[in-house]
Amino acid sequence: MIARVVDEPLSVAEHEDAVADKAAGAVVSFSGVVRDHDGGRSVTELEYVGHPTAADVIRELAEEFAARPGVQAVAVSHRIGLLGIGDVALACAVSAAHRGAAFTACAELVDEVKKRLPIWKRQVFTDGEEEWVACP
Amino acid sequence: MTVTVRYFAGARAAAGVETEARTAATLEDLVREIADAHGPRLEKVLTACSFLVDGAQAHDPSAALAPGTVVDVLPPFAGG
Repeated sequence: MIARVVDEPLSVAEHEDAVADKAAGAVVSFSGVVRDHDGGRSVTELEYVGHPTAADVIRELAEEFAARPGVQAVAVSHRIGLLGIGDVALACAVSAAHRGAAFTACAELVDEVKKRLPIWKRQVFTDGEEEWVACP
Repeated sequence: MTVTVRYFAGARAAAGVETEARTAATLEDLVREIADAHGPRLEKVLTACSFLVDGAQAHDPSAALAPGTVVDVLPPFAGG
């Protein structure tokens, strides 16, 4: 099972391959990609940093979703470090016997990663200002 | 009790330090102390933070902190 926090480029295709299964009739994947704007402002650079427990948490999440009824396999990775526009920050893939379970599990996995994975995002805008996202 | 405080992400930026030693009997005392010490920017960030006490999610801010405890200050997560 792929469940990692890494500081190198992510391949969604690798995640799709990792969940391939003869019993799977559906593979749903998701890429969270760095975009060039946020809240109407232009973004030039993003940095993700993780808590030391992030690798354990992403493994727990993957195991939890892989144990769901109807789900065959799960692969999920989050990238940390400096990322450019268009880089994949979050890659995941879920295989299941039927598409409904695969769509649902993939969408909910992304939601849970955003909620529970201890990773933070700093974005730098074109005017040189920067902010930690979601931090007051 | 002397405890070690580790700040992450936006909390680190607001505190201006990565880690520091502080003396506090409970988590709520510690939060008050670091807010006073570092000023309004950190005070604002702290209102949104969760805390790990020796790696475990803190649920009771009035529970006693043992000497040598490590407290992590975690701003809201923003992965994905």
